Amino acid sequence: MTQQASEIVIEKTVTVSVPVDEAFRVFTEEIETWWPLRTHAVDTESSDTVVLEGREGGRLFERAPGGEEHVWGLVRTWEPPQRVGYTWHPGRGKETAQEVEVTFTPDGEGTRVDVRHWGWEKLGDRLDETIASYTEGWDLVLSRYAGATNG
Amino acid sequence: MAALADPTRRAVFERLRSGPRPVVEIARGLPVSRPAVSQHLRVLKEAGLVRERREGTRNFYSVNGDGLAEVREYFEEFWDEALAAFKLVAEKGETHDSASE
Repeated sequence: MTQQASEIVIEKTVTVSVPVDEAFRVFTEEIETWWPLRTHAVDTESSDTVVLEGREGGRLFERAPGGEEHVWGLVRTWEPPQRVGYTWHPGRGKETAQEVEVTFTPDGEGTRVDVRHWGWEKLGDRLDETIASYTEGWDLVLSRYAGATNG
Repeated sequence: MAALADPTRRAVFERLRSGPRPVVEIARGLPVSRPAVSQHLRVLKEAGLVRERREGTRNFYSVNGDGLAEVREYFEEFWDEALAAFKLVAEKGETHDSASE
C-alpha cells in the first residue's frame, strides 16, 4: 500500500457570506435544503430528505417517502454554532465508520466552514472489503453524477 | 464502475484478498473458463481494483492498494460538490432574510 489509511484526512473549506449562526443552522437544521441527495445518498432513486438530529447521539439519515431510512452516522459533537461532528458509514456497518467534523469560524462578515473527514484506519483488515463496498454502493451515485455532468 | 456487481467477478476479486495469484490459480474451482476469468480480471483492472504484475511467463494479479487513493479522490469530489451546494443555499437564504435583522 502506497499510503497509510491513518494518514488520510480529507480537508475542505468553503467561505459563505452569512454569519456563523446562519451558516451553522443551514448546514445542520436545514441540511435537506442543500444536500445533493440525487448524487450523495445511499438510495439516490427514492430518498427525498435528509435529517440531522441536532444533539449528541442524534442520527444523520436519509429518508424515502415510504419511510425507509438509511442512517449515515451519529452526532458525536454538538456545539452550535461552532462545531458539529458525526460518524460516517452510509451504506455500511457502523464498525467501519469514519469521522466527519465541521467547524464554523467567523471570517469578516461571513463564515469559514471547514470539513475534516478522517478515520480510515478503523477499517483495518476490512479495507479491501470496504473499498469494494464503496465501489459497489456508490455505483449508482457515480453513474448518475456522470449522467448529470454529461447532460 | 459496476465492476463488482457480477457475482463471478466478485468471486474472482475475493480470491485475491489472501495475496497475489496467477490466473490459473484464480480460475481453479470456479465454474467458468480461464479466458472468462481473464476477462473478469481485465474489467477489475480497468476499474482500478486489481493490479497485474508479470513474473517470468506468468501474470500475477493482486488487490490494488491504491483503491484507498481512489476512495480519497472520490470523497474529495464528494465534499466539493456538497459544499458548493451548501454555499449556494446558505447565501440565497441571506438575500431573503437580510431585512429581518
